Amino acid sequence: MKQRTTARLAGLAGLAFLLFNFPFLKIWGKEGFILGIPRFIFNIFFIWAILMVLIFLIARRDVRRVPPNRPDQ
Amino acid sequence: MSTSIVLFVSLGYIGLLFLIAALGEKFSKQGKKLVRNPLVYSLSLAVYCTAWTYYGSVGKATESGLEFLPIYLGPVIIAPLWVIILRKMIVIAKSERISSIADFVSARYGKSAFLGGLVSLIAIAGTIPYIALQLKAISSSFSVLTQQPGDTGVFFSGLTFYQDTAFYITIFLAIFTILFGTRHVEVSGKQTGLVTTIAFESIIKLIAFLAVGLFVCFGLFDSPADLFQQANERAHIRELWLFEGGIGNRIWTWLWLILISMMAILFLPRQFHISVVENQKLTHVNSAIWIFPLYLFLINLFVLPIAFGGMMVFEGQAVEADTFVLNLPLSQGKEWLALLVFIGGLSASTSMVIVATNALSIMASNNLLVPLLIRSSAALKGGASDISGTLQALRRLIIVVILFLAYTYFTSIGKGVSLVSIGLVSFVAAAQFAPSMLGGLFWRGGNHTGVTVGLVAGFCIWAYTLPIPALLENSAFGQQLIHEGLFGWEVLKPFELFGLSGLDPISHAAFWSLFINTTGYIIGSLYSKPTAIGHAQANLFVGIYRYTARHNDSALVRGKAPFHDIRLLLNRFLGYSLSEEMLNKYAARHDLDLQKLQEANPDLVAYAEKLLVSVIGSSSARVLIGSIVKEEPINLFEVMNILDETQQLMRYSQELEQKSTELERTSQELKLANDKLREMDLLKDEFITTVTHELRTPITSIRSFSNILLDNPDLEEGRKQEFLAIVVQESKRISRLINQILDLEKMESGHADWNISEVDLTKLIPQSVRNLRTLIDQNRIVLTTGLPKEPCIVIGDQDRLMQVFINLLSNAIKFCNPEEGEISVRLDKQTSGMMISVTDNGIGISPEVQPYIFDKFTQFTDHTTGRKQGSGLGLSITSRIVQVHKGTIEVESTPGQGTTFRIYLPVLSESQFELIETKTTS
Repeated sequence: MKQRTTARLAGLAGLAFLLFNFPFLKIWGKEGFILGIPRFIFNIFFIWAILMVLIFLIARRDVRRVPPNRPDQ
Repeated sequence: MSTSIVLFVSLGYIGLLFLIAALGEKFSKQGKKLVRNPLVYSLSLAVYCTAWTYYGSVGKATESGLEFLPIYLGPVIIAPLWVIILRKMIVIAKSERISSIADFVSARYGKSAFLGGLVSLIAIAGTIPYIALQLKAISSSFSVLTQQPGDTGVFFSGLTFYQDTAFYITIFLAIFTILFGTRHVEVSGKQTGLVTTIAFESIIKLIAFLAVGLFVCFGLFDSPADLFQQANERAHIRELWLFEGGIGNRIWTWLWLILISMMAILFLPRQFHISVVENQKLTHVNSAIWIFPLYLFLINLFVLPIAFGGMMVFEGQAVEADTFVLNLPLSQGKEWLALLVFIGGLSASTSMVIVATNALSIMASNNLLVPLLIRSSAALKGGASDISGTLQALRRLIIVVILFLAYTYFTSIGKGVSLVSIGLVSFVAAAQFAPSMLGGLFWRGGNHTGVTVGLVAGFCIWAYTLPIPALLENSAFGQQLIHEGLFGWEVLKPFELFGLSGLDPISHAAFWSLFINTTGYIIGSLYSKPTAIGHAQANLFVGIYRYTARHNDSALVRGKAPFHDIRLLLNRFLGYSLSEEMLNKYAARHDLDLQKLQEANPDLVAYAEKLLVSVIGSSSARVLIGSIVKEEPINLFEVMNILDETQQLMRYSQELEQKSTELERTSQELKLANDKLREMDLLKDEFITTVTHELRTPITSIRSFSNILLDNPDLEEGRKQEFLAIVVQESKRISRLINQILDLEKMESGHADWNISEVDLTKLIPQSVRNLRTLIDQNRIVLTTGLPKEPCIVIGDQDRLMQVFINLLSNAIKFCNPEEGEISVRLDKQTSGMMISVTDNGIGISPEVQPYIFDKFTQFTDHTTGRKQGSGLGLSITSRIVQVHKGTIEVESTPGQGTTFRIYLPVLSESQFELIETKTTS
């Protein structure tokens, strides 16, 4: 895996750690509903979903750039 | 539902698992992608989701809402970092044939048998509560489904063990795991059947859980929105999804749960086994980093709806929340859905138990029992010829022991304890490996002592703050311990250690154990030295990518051994057929004839060590190999050799240094010489330019006057005479100039002839004056001479010295005051030489020009006419002649008042003169 991809993923991990902790939790956990789902629950799962998509995109970009028949390590 | 149906379906499902395992192995041997792909790898990682997730999350959610989630958020957060941490662990494990986390720690910190044992003990102790959790879940769900006594899910510990479902479940699990997990002796990365089964079980538990979730959201309620709407009307449910008053009061708990789950996903023994040991291909990690979070996302999606749905459906009833998943379908008469849920729960539990006990049995046999076995002489000398059978028996025994320890733990803990709180105890134990593992991967300085201190301290604190109070809770001693502290010391209260109160038991234990563990690891490492092998292993592990890039062989035991011994050892520990197969493979690859092979070379020894590592772990393998390898001790002679070599190297480098300094100096000299040459070249060019210029002036005038004479034959005679006089004069100037140049060049190149004789200056000076008398008189100059009476003799060339005086006098005449010219010539005899001075009262020489007057072609400018006078060579020649006579010449002048030239000539002997001459010419 490329150095740059690794760095991006590490950055994403750091961001995820912050987003899933206080004080961000306080913002996500306000009263109210989104699409009938309590805000807190909706927000946490929404961020989770976004995160997975980002990981997928970053990891796939790396894979795509590798020539198809490069021997695996 | 009748017990027989449940039993029948369960056994059928277990049979299916065996079938899948067998198929998985078959496909794997055929090299099919079906079992070796990133999806299977990612799904097998979901062994993380056990009965705790399956039943326990809902229970936790009913108590504290979203607080069940950090355990899954931690892995999601760290998943992107797997490409750094997990990848490195896999590369190391593959190259070192590591088969468990205990092997890893032991290998990293100097192949230490002690550390391997310590890690195994911690891993076993840490995992037992976790297995107990699975037992509780299976027996509770079984009771709920078959509506036996205790159908609310609360376990009745009043029953004796043979009346207890959990006891039979334990026996059943032991048989199942033994049949399943210990089919092969060699363990690293070979259990594709196991992995396939785990992946299959992950699918089943996900499907079952999603089925319940959908049933609750759309069967019991109209939609999720409807469910939450109804829940919103109940204050005790509504407060579960608010930050303020809920999670907001326990943000430390939240943070610590995330932190320990980040460590647990990497370092739980079973996670390490699946993600590292059983990894088939390194690139599978790249896909797992998003597939695994997706799995966790899906399996957690319906936890809150099920929890809230259950709370509303069973409002006012004594139904344990941990069984909502099963009780909700049952309460609506959906027995088949309930059976599916039960199978899903069975999947979750069995997959965990299989992998965990399997990993622990390998770990314990390699690190606790094999070291004892190989120390008993029977294993090495004679006795059983095949130890691989013994090894397998040992592993089976360990599985049984672990399961029954778990059963004991299960019966000992309080009956109201929730699944999640039991599981978290194991998480904190697994987190104890984080400092040693992460430090071992990225910090070369971490060593054996640091790990020992850190792990022992961390483990003790973990035991004292979590399982011990949990186990003793029901005893009087336990109550005293919890409320008053050990020996009545308040600072030793297990839930408020060192006075730290206000944290929940898990965060409290995690904080203290990890703090002291990490501190101990770092300080212990900094204040001690690693062993030689520890140092080498540290370099190998931290810089693994460099080593794998260079060569595959990284074993450190270097030496030769009798091939017969190696073969015997492998036969014993791997079994005859496997070991012969591996040896033949090696022989084929390296073109060896095993029949004729007498001695195993270091490469083969390393190969054998790695094979043994995969069976019995690195520390035991090292002991075994070490016992037969001829590791010759380094003797004095070799030490001297090494020292000698070093010395030679040092000497060589010193020589090199010296040479380089010399080279530098030479190049400096060359540079200087080159600079000088360039300067001289420049001077020569300048000289030629000036000479050409000086010659051209008279030639031009000669030519023009000759032309006039030629073109005008009838020119009047007076004019003719005048022009011819100019031509003659200019010709003389040319020849004088050429003579001077030749003279100067001769002198400078050392080709001049010097006629050395005694010269009496008192005669020479008047003679010079006489030669110029006409000129002096023409210019109406008053010339005074002051000469001593007695003769003043110097050694030198008379003609040249005459030239000196003539030059100086003619200069004086030229620049004398044109109206009242006065020139004085003086000669003074001094102690060791003669001082001659020529003074005029002319225009003088400005101070700026004075330093250059002895240079070639420095011409004097007549300020009154603005014209340059003379060839610019006279003084240059003069100065040169004086130099040859070892004398000095200097000028003293005030512009407008006059100039004095002083020449000092030492009295020399003839030989001295020659000496000087040779010197100047060289």
